[in-house]
Amino acid sequence: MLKRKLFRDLWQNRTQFLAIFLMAFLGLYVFAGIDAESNGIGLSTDYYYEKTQLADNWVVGVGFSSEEQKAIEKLEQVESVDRRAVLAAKAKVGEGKELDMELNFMESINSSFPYWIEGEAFKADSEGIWLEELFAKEWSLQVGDYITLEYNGREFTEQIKGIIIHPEYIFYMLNSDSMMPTYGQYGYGFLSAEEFPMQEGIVYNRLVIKQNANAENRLSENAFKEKIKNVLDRDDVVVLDRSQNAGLEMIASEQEQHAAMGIMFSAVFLLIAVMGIVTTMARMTSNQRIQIGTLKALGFSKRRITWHYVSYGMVISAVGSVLGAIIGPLTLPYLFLPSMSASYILPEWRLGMSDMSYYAIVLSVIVSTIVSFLSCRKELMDMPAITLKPAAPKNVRHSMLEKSKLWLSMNFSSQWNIRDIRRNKARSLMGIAGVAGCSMLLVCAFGMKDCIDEFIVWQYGGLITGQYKLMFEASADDLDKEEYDQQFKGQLVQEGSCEFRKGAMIKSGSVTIIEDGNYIHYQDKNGDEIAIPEYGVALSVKMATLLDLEVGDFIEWHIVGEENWEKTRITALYRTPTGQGITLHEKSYEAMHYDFSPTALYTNMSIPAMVKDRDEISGVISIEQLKTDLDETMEMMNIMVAILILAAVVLGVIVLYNMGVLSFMEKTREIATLKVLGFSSRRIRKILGQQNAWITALGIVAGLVLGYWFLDLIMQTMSEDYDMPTVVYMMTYVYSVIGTWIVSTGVNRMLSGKVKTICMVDALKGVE
Amino acid sequence: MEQKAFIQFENVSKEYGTGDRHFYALKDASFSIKQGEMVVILGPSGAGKSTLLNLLGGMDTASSGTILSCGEDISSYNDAKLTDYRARNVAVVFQFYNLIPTLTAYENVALMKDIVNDTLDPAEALKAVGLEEHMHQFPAQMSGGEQQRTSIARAIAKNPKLLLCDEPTGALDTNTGRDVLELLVRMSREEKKTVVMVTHNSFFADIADKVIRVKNGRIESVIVNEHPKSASEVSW
Repeated sequence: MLKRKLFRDLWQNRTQFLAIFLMAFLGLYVFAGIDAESNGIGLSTDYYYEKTQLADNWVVGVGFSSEEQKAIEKLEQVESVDRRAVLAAKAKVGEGKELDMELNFMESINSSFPYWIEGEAFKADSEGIWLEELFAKEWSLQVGDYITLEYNGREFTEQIKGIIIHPEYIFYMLNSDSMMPTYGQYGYGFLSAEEFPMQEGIVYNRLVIKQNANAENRLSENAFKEKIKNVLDRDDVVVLDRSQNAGLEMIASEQEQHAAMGIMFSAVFLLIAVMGIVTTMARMTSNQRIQIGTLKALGFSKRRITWHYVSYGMVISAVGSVLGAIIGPLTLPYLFLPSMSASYILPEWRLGMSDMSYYAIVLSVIVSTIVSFLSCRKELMDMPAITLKPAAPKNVRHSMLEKSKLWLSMNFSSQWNIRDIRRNKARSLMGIAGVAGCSMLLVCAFGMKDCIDEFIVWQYGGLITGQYKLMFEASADDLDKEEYDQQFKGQLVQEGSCEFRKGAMIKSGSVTIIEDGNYIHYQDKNGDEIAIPEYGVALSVKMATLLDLEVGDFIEWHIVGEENWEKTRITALYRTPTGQGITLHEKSYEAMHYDFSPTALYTNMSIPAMVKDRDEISGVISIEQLKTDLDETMEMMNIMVAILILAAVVLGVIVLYNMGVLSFMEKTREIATLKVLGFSSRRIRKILGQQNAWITALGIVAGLVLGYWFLDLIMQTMSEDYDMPTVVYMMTYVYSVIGTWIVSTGVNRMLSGKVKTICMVDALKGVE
Repeated sequence: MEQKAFIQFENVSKEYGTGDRHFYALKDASFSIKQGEMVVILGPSGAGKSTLLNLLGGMDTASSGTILSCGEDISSYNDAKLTDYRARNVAVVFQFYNLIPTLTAYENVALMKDIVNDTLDPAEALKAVGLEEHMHQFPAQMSGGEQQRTSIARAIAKNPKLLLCDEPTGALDTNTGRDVLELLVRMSREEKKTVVMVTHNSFFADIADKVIRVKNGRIESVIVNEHPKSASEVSW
């Protein structure tokens, strides 16, 4: 019978319980939905890596001999080693178009197989080329077609034997300047080494290593890499693991980032759910005080009664959480998939919740149950003789404010509202939290766009002021580069990859060497422009944090492809949003007996179209075009923004409506009394509206502060390579305030209509 | 031969507060009640009647003294044992009925099944109080008398040894009150239940086997009524 009472009570208080239900639902909806998506990324990549037997290590260097290959193969921990030549080539497609294509010439293949899409399976001794899927699609290339390639000025034609994708190219960009891939505009292919156009001249620049998972005495990753270096006995090589492959690392950190966001947003909803339970249960048990006393007098044990009241929070949160966890994974991931699959190339996208979601359900139910217990404990403790009587009125003390002169000068409605808030602290707090949550989410939503805008402005307005970037071929002569420099009045720059070492920790990053000029700028932590010193190295702030280094310390670094490790004093720190690493002045670099060999030229002069077809030029990038591309590929961000705005509105409406109904029900008698005394409905609505306005104002202030903090948290979950600025524009705050205010006054309108419906006579009848 | 006391109060006191604000709601109360007796506890408001009833029903604990009820020393009981005592032995009829508003008359009575094993059939109990027509109505849909009869049906269904009534007619008009009273008297005379009723209405003294008068927290007198009247004979 108590069960029937439970369900009828739930129905009678459906507005409040619906709010709790929705919050529990949304909490788990977001959590499980994002968990299914982010965990799904893990499942998809695991499947992909397993299926293609993705290699564990890659040794990058120049000219690997078969002796070297065999020496590594002998190591106990190694299963197989393949030699590979990875070369930048051009593919001729369409009408006279030359697009970039990375070619992998394979001597053998024992791991890191291409994932088959169409045509023959890849073999390392077969003729023809296996072409990447999106490139083939873009240019309508099919199995059996021929494609003309050009490497080092030499043209050759290959028949397409198969269409493939490859996990090493899971996320693949042509140059580090763009932020989003534009698949189809460049590609990659796999061929047998026998297809190399200059037979004698093939230079293997990769060793692809698959480790033996069952080997005894396995070395740690770093020790293993060290061992390979020792075996090769040369310092001009870099041993990479999966976490150093940009694409593999990107998707792994994307997965973490999504999971972190899921946790953060669910926490907000669940917090509101908990507050809803506190206020609703406390009110319900105090309303049912006499009923509780009766049940006690009838002989129900304390445990039975406690269990009964605890069930409310438990049932609601359990139903909400489970439904959320069911529906979330079925819907939410599909919002992410389009943009995820535009960025990352996977054979299939799997979805699947991890154990975390189940723990989250249990946690949500346990917390709700405990909170229900705590909020009704008071009524359950006393002897039935006491609980059977109405509760003694609260001992209300006058606050400092009420004793001050200011109090007397206040009008009735302010006095009334201040007392009401003081007497219903939990309810008021919940209202403030709800409003704060709403404006916080709005700040995050609009702020995310601000950050991206700010990033673009910072990167391409503040740090890089050149309009064009001329990219040199690796084979271009340094003297020619000087000539371009003169002709276009530009600034030469050498960009490359670099490794940093501190104790046992090795990080990879970028190295930039610049000559004097006006197109590349650097800023310190505070955003003030600094010059790169002509001695020592300048280190990016984020990398300095990662390595725990400061100005004056020495940093050990090593350019990929060079023999020596350098140990150089850090002479400056600079902040940059992308490409964490070091920057040197040309003079400092040459003082270490390196040759400054520029890879690109920044300029503001317009570049004639024919320039990009010259042999020594590999491409021309227009910064304007880059910015436009970036905007277009920010769809993902727009989806997130839309979700956040929706969540903010839902949150605001639910919490405010709930709070409003609660306070309205508690005040029915007071309102009826005011009516009897002759207050007009409109006057009463105004009094209620005033309280609402105060709570909204307080909530908004808290929400703006929290919003900035939350946004900063989100920005910090970005991958190690980025150092995103957390910026919130004034207009974002304005929008957030207006948005929250609209939600709040809208809800208040809905509620204040109820004042009219209060019947004076009914409301003032007996309490029983 | 004197029948063995079913209920025995020995020097029972209940005090509230400390220091200056300290007072006795009940002081040195001693009396006994036999099984099957119909007892009326009389006194003005604030005299200590309800305290007496609460102690008897195991709904509150005494500050000192011994209470024997239904063969148990309940003054030594802790919370859990008192709950068990209430569940097994006692049924209460309240002045304001105290029905669960979200349960129908039938369900309110059937609620007893949740705590006691050998309950009477709820439908039978409701029939006994003449409510078979209103079984599926919610308390809010019934009159005061009907609600009080439901609450008596709830008490009957529990099949208790001891039926406690706290101003059972206090919220009812005279005629309805008389009906309720009649029901209670029947419980005592026919079902041989021990009925203890608290009231400030001295007219009820006539129907009792024993009348205990309380004033200022003390037992004023205990009078045995040799020839109790039937409920229909009293009027107020």
